[in-house]
Amino acid sequence: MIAQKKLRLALLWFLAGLIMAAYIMILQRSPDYPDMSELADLKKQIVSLQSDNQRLEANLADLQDSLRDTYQSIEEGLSPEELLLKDIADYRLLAGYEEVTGEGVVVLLTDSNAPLAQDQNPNRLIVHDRDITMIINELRNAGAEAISVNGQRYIINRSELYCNGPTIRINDQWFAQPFIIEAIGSRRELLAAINSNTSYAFGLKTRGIFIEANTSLYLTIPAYDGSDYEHLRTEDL
Amino acid sequence: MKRPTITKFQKHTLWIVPVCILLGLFIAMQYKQFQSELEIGGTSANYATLSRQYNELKIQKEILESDIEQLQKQLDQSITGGDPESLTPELREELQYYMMAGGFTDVSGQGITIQFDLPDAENVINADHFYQELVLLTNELHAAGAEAISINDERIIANSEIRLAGSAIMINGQSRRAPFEIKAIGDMDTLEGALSMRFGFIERVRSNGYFIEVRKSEAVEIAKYPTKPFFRHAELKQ
Repeated sequence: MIAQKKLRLALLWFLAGLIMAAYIMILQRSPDYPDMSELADLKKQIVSLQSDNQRLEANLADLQDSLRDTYQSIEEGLSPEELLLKDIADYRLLAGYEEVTGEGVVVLLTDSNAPLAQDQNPNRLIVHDRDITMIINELRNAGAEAISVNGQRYIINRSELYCNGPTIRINDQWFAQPFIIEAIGSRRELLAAINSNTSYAFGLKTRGIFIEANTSLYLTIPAYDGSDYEHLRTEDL
Repeated sequence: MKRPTITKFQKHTLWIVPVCILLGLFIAMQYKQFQSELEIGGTSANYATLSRQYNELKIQKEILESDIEQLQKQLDQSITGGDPESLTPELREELQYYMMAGGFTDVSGQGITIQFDLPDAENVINADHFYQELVLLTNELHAAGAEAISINDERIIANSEIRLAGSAIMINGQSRRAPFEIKAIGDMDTLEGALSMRFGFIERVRSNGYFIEVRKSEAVEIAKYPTKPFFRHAELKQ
């Protein structure tokens, strides 16, 4: 009788062991299932791949166009030299080494002339290099194609805008307030970028700094004449 | 009256009780496990479609890239007429210079690599500040004499933009996210020193809780801007 009971107990424990083993197996298998952060990462990568591909497609179409243009120019009897000169002119324009004209906006920025309130930091009433950098970036985000500050060409990939005591240094030259930023691009969009109440410029206005934007049908922005390249190496063409 | 043998029986049943409780627990756990698997089942299928889409996009990208390379070669050949030596070296040098200056060739040289990240990359609220810091960082690098800069392999060209778009940052119209790797070519000691000076950029962003690390290198390679853009509004002054 007791032996039989023990046998029954043993059987029960055996069953429990089996279920436990099955459970452990399930636990080990579950890493196959992704968690939400992995899924989000994948989604982000897909978004960036999509934008990459979109640009590549546009790039392909551009290349096909320029290939057609080149063939056409060859048919018209242009020599390789002339083709190359055309290419050089294109890249000079894109790199900012040419004087350009077009429609755009003129932004005027000066220090605030409000009296200093008690305990107020005087820095809040002054235009800083950071402020101009952010304004320029916002103009660029709104599609500005050429930008100058106080008549000095500002190219994003080379120019610096740096606080130098009471003045600001741009392309190794010094400028003081008032700052006049000129930008060539779509007038409407550039103006909206400055006047929008989510813009950096709006934040400056609430700080009391004088900032005004006006459109212009014809602006001239000088060529960039900055320093040479010392460290860059590139493959021969 | 004799005591019945119930005590003996009870002793045995007492052993069975915990075993049954344990069994019940296991069965409940297993049931729950299966239930939750059924629930994530949808996500799992979602994951499969997403990874399929990812792979397709990746293949598509490779095809596009090879197509572009082929066309570019064809274009170069059509200009030189299959004989690059036929062109004057002065002209070729000039083209090379302006392409390099504009950011349309791959470049290399000494410089620095910066790792720039949020402590919590999922923190959406901080993306706004992050984008401003990136704009200021590029300016800081240019002030220290950087000659070429890329952010997550997006080359900064004469009119590149850095813009906030939701929780991502758009650079050259491409959606990019933290962590950021910024490469800059220039005098590596000047670049590193300008960032790590007292009360300088690194100290400021670190005190704001960002992760930033700068590494000097003798050979930094920066990829070119992939397309030849064109101006819609700006024209060459006649």
